[in-house]
Amino acid sequence: MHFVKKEPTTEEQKEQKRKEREKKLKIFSAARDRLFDKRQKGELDEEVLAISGQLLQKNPDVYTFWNIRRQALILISQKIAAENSDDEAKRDERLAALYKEEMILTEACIQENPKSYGAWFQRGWVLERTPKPDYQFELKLCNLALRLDERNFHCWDHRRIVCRLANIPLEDELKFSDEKVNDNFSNYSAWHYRSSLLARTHPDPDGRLPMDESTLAKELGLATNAFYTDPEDQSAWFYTSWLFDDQHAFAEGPVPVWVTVDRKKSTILLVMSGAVEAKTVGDMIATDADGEWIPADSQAQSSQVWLFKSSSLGPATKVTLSYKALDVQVEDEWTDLDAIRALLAPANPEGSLKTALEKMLASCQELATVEPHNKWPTFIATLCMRRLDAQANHDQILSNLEKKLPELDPKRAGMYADLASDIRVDRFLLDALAEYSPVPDTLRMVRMELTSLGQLHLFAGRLTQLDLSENRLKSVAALRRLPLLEYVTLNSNEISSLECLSDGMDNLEFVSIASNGLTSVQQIADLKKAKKLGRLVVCENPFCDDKEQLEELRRVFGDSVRVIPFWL
Amino acid sequence: MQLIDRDLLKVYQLSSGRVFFQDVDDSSKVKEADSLTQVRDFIADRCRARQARKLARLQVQVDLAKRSAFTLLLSDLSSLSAILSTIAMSLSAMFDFARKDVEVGESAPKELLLEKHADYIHAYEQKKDSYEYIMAEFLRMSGVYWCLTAMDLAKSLDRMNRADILQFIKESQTESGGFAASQGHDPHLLHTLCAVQILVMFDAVDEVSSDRIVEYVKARQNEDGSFGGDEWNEIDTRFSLCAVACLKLLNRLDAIDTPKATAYVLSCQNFDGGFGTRPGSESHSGQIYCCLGTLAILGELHRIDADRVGWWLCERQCASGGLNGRPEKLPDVCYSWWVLASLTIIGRLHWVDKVSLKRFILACQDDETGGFADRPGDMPDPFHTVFGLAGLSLLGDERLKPVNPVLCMPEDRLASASIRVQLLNPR
Repeated sequence: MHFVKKEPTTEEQKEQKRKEREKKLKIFSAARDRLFDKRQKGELDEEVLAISGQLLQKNPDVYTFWNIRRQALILISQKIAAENSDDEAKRDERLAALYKEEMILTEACIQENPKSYGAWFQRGWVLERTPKPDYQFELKLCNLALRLDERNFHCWDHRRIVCRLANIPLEDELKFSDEKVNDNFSNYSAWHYRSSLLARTHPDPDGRLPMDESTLAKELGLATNAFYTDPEDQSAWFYTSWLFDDQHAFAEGPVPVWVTVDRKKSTILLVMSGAVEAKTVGDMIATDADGEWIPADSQAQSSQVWLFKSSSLGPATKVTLSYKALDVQVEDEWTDLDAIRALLAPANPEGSLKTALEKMLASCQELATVEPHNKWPTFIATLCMRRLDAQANHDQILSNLEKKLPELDPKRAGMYADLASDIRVDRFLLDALAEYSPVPDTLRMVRMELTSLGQLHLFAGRLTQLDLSENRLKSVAALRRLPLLEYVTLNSNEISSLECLSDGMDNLEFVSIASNGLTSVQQIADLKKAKKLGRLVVCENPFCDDKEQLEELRRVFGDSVRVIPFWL
Repeated sequence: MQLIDRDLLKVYQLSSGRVFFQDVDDSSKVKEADSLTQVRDFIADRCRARQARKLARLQVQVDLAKRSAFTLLLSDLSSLSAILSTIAMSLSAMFDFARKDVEVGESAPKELLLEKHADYIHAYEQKKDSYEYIMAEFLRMSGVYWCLTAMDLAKSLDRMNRADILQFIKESQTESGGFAASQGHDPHLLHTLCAVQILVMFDAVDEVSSDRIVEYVKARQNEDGSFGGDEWNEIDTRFSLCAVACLKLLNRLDAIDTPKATAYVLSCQNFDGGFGTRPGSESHSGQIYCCLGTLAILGELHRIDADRVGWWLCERQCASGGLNGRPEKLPDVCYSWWVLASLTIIGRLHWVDKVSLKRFILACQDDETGGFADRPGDMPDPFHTVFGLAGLSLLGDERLKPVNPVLCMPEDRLASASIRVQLLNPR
């Protein structure tokens, strides 16, 4: 029970409570029986309104009572309409009176329980039916309810409904959110409201930023005031991070970045900048070969990586990639390395946006010195540095994520580690693109403290060999998006299951998963389903010391896979 | 309705624990109280005084030495017992509220009292003519689902009366095909989902007509892809999850427009990566769970920014280790489910500190009666019990069955029915 403390009660108090409840139960049951009985008989009249009204005031969450009420109201309003078919004004007056009663009831219910879904919904339902909706009254009611609890989302949602029905200009609502935020900087609900309004009142003409640049700069100033006033409150910090967040590199939607055609294996692999469904893929790549597009991920409808498996894709088969102005025939491979570079290293902001962000960054860093135990200024400053110039600030960003922040905020150490790991991987991939041409099909990311694999899947079209030894990986689900992988080394990590690789790894020939603390063969048994698997190295795992487990190993993998449990 | 600002009683508690109060009405000096009980009595006296002068309202403002403040508005003083029961929320709870966190005391339970919980749930279902049982008839189907799931996770489902429960379910199905909370009440997606979940747990789906259920669910989808809870069409992303989960369990996702269902959920994504009730609604852990669950069932998890929502979710962890539902709110054991399940769905369970979270959840147990409460020291109930247990299961407690983070049902029941859902980065 929310907010009800457990208090010790005497036998006497218990008995008195029991008696009270018995009485209440009798009254409730009688009223409820009468109500259901009348409904069953089709007697949806004023008595139904009276009984349900009484019941709902005490129990505004009994949804069936609201339903019965609505049925009665509909019938009664139809009666009123019929009785006054020749006098519209009189009809509307009577209907308005009928619905006014409803508003009074729901107001009482809301006072009893300000978070009753049923009561708020009924108000919205009435507003849509009453001939004389009083929107100003509704707004006043919302204002009052918000003064009692400024985070009541039922009230905020109702306010949005009223504004829509009444066609209240968005600018007015923006002013309202202004007042709320200035009243109390800790009002997350008000900041949230601002975020959805500004996108509509001051949109960015290029569609890249959350709002137009000059408004953005003003909001950054407002948010800075807020986080200075209350540096421990989350609202302003979340809002700030959204303001400077990099809107997607391809605002128009996902674009193709890699196509690999393997005419020997009869497959096509497609990598997109963002997740798409099968239909989009089918529209993008035309081929005479028959086959099916499969997402390179388990149980996925949308995916960034797709694989086309065919039986009839030969040396002469046409494969055409068509996307907007692009229309090319792909022989073996098509890539958009510029797009990949943009995904790995988004363009840095320039001009007035850059100035505004630098100013905010300075405020954050200053606040960090004043509030040395507070992780927020340091974390937001780190995210801001990444946005301003991820490459130049690379070392400082990693230092914050790997040393300073886990110390300040140990609870979220897992997140900081993953963010740092993603940055390391993306930088590694960027360097690989710069250093090697063509893009290498073998990558070694050894001893990099990796817990997460960033955008490794962008290389799915080329990668056949991968060495991820001596890292801190717990999940290898990311490998599922590299269907061309043939050799993978995962020694000295913290992997406890390979279930995610149980399908789709049709090219995997060699896996090494030594020293991962594996205690049972069942943890890797799913690898059996990799059809081409020829060699499996499992040395220095606890199960290697267990005779029965070694038997199990031989049994599971049989003759087709050479299993190596000992180095020599 | 007008607020009378001049009538103010201010109560302060410093971080040292000392309590002071100031009666602004009296413009007397600040006085120190011996205890919170003394302040509570003082407030009761003020209520009586205002009642006598026929003044409608008393505003009590609770401040901490820091910047946060909490205002308790005691309106309609005509019923003093109601006022005192409002104060029964207790001043210490108010201070918890203002600090937006709770203390996990040294004497709080530290071990999982599994047998006690099984006994608690088992006893709950027995008292069919009790006050609680009857007054909760409007949510009984959900109540039964909470109890059964808790028992199954505790590996004690066989202690429940399968035959009685199946009978209850059949009696609750209505003409429309949907299920009501209990016989006599109206059908609703919430209770339809719970009914189907119970049937799957008992492997008894064949005992009802799935076609009729599918028709009911299908009829709830609107043009824009959203789902109404029932024929009255209250729209809420909770109902998107109810609909797709129901159909997933019956293997009938083909019955609805899944691309539109996805598009609607995505339209509810907010600036912070979270999701709300409807487009434009504030992010809330419960709604995020429903939206991520819907996307998982539809295989569309790659369409969202998992890092962004994952960050928002892991910031729900308070200093006490408990999880809250939204920024600046109190931690609550049920969020140990909504938040934890959400993080598991997007492969980021390790973004919270499991040790302090586990300690918080265990502290919410009632070591006398069994069951879990929303936070340490409060009254337990089946709702918080199932989510406390489910949260512990996600954290890897081996005395409990593994739970599915999308469908909130034991994994073995889903495996038997060959039901799999998408998860990001599973381990």
